[in-house]
Amino acid sequence: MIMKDDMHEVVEQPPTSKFQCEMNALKNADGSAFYSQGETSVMVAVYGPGDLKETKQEIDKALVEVDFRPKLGSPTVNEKYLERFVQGVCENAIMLALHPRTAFAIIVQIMQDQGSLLSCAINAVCVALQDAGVSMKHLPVAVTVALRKESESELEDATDVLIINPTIKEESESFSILTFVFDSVNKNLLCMHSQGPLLPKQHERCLKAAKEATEEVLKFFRDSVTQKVAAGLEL
Amino acid sequence: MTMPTDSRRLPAPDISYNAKLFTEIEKLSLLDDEEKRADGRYVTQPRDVFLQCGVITQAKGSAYFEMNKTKVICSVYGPKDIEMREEFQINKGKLKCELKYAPYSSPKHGDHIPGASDVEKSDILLEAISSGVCLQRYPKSQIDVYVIVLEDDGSVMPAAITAASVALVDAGIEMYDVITASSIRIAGQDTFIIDPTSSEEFSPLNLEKSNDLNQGMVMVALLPSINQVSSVVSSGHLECNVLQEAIRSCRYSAQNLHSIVRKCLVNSLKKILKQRNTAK
Amino acid sequence: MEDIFKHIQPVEYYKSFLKENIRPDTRTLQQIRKTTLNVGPITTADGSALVKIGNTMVMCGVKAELTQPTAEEPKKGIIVPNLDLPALCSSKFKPGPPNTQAQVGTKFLDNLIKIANLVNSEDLCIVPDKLVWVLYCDVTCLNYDGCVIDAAVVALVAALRSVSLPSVTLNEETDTPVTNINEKTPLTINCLPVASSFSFFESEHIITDPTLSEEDITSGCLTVVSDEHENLLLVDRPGGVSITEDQLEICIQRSFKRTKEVHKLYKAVHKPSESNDQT
Repeated sequence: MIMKDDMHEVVEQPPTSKFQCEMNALKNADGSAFYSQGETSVMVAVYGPGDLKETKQEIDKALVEVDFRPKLGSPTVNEKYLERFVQGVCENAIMLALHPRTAFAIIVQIMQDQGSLLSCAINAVCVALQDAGVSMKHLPVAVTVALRKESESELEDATDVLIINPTIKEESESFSILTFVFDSVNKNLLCMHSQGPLLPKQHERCLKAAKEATEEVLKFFRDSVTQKVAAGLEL
Repeated sequence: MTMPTDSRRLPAPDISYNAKLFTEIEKLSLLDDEEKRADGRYVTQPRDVFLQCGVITQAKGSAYFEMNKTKVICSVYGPKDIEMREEFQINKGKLKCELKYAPYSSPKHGDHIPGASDVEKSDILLEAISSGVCLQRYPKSQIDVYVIVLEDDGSVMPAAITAASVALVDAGIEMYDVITASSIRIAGQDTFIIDPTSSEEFSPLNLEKSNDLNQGMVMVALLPSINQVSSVVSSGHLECNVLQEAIRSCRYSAQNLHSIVRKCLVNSLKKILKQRNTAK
Repeated sequence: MEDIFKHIQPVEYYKSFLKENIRPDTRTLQQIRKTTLNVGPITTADGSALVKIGNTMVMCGVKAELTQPTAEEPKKGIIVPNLDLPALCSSKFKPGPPNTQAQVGTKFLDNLIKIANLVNSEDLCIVPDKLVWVLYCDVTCLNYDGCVIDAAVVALVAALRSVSLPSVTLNEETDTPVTNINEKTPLTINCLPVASSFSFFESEHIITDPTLSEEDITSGCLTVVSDEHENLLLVDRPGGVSITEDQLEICIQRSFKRTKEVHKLYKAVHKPSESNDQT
C-alpha cells in the first residue's frame, strides 16, 4: 500500500507490478525517491549541486559523493564496494561540467535487501536524480540477471534458467549473478558486475536478456515521471 | 566472531594462535660450544646485506634493505606543502616518519592498527635520521618517510634507519651525511652479539653459566663521515663501562656499513647518468 | 620540454602517442608489461609471493593460525583477505585507515576467493566446532603504478598455493591443540584465476594493462577475471565511459589470452626447485 499525502506525488502501480516508486519522498532533499523492485527497496536522497570545501573542488566539473548506508550499523566493506558502482554510474550520467566547483551528495539507504540490490539502488538513484531535476546525458538503467542450473535435467548442454531481477532465494540458488547498467540512448554498457563462473556464450545470453529487460524499466521510469508531472499540473 | 570493530576491513576472528605455539619448545642457546651462533656466524660477524635504492618508482626516493631474513622497504615523498597548519614552521622543514610492520612479518599475525610499539619505533626512526637532514633548507615544507618491515628477523631498527637515510639521499634531499646504524645484544659483559636475529634478541639468558647481570640491547645510529652519533637506544641492565664498550662496538659496526651504502648510492647515480646520456 | 608537456597537458601528450599507435612507455595498445613472480620471499609467512607487473609491485603474505570456528559455520575454516594500499606505495594515499579504494579491493579479493572457490573452507577444519585454520591473506602494495588488482590476484593465488599446513590434532584430555611441524600437507587450490584490467581512452581505444598515468587520464577500469577453462569468474566495470558489447567481447578474449600466459608462470614456479620466472 502506498500512503497518500497532499505533499507527495504518488505513483500507483497495479499490485502485480515488480516496480514501485515514490518520487519526492523526502521533503528536505533536492530530489528523493523511495524505490522498490520486488521485495527489495531503497530510499535515495540527492542534494546538489552544493558547496564544497575549496581543497576538494575540481575546476572543470562537479564532484559526486555517494554514501551507501546499510539497514543496520555503519557502512562496511560491502557497502563501499556497491557504492563505487553507483558513483561510477552517476559520474557518467550527470552532466558534471555544467556545475564546476560543486558537489552532488547522493545518499542511498537500504530499506530491505531481498536480492538484486545493486540494480535496485542504481535505478533508485536514477529516479531520484530525475526528481531533483539534475541535467543528465542519459538515463542509466540497471538490470540484474541470475543463471540457475536446471535442476531436473542431468544433461551437459541443458540450457540454464535465466532469471531477471532475482530474489535473494533465487540468487542463492544461482551459480552466477550479473548486473548490467545500460544508457537509455545508445544502449551501451555503462557499468557491469558479474560474479560466478560463466562461459562467454552464457555471458552473451545474459547481456542480451538484460538489454531486453531494460525496456520494461525504462517504461516504468517514463510512467513515473508522467504521473508526477500530471499530479503537479492538477494541483 | 563478534561484530567487526573495524568496518573498513573484513571481519576476522578475535583471537587466533600460531600453530607453532603448540609444539615442543626447542632449547635456545645463544652460542654453541665453538662460540658460534645458531646461523653459523661468529659473535662479531654481521649478516650479509643487500641494499638497493630507487625500487619504488612512484616515490621521490626509495630503498630496499635486506639483512639475510630481515627485510625493510622505505619510500620518501616531498618536500611538499605542509599538511597540518599547526606544524608550519617558517625557518625549517618538518620531517614525518611512519614505520609499519606488515601483518605477515612476525611469527604472530600482526594487527593492522598501529600499536604503541609501532609509534615508539617511528619516533626512534625520526630521531635518528632528522639530525642528518638539512631541514633548514626546506622551510614551510614537509618530507614524509614511510618504512614497511616486510620480514622481522631482528635488528629491524638499524635496518629501517639505514634504509630511510638511503631513500632520503635517493630523493635528492640535502643531508649532512648518510646515517648508518647497528645494534648489539649484550649477554654478559664479555659477550657482545653483533647484528642479532630475532631469536637472539629475545633468547633468555643463561644464568647457570654466569652470574653476570649485564643483559640488554644497544642500538646506535651514526653519521659515519663526520663520525657523530645521532641516536643511542639502550634497554636492559647494563653497567656504565659495558654500555660504553657496547656503543663503541656498535659505532664500529655501523661505520663498516658506510662503504656498502656509498657503493649503492654511487652505482645508482651512475645508472641514472647513463640513462640520461642514452636518452640524449 | 617533453617532461613539461606531459605534466601540463597529459591528455594531449597521450593523444600524440596514440596517433602513432604506441604508448609513452613504448608498448603497443595490447601489450602487457613484463610480469614476474617470486614465491616464498617471506619466511615468517606460511605462504608468500612478490609480483611485479612493470613497475607495479605487490607482496602477498599468508599466515595460517588456529582459531575457533564461527557458530554459524562450525565445519568451515576462515579466510580473511585484505588489500593494503599504504602511503609508501604512492603519493595518492595518506597514512591511516584504509581508504575507499583499499576497501573495494579487499572486497574484490574476498568475492574472488568465494566465487572461484580457491580453497575449500572445509579443508581448513581440524575439529568441527572447536578448532579451524584461519588464513590471513594480506596483500601489500609496494609500488602503485596501475593494475594493482591484477598483481594482487596473482600474488594471492601464488601465495596460497605455496602454503603448507602442519598437522594439528586436539588433545582430548586437555582440550589444547598439538602441532606436528614435521608433517605438512600443501593446501589444495581449486582454481587458478587471473585478472586483467583494461582502460578506455575516449571510448574507442582499448588500453590493456594501463599504468597509473594511463588510469588517471581514462575513466574507470574494466577488470575481467577468468580461469584456465575460459570461464569468466568476475567482470567488474564500475562506471566510466560507455562501452559497446563488441569492446567487451574483445576485452574478454584478451583476458583469456592473458590468463594462459600467467598460467605458464604459475606452473613454472610451482616446481619446488625454482622460484623465479617471468613472461
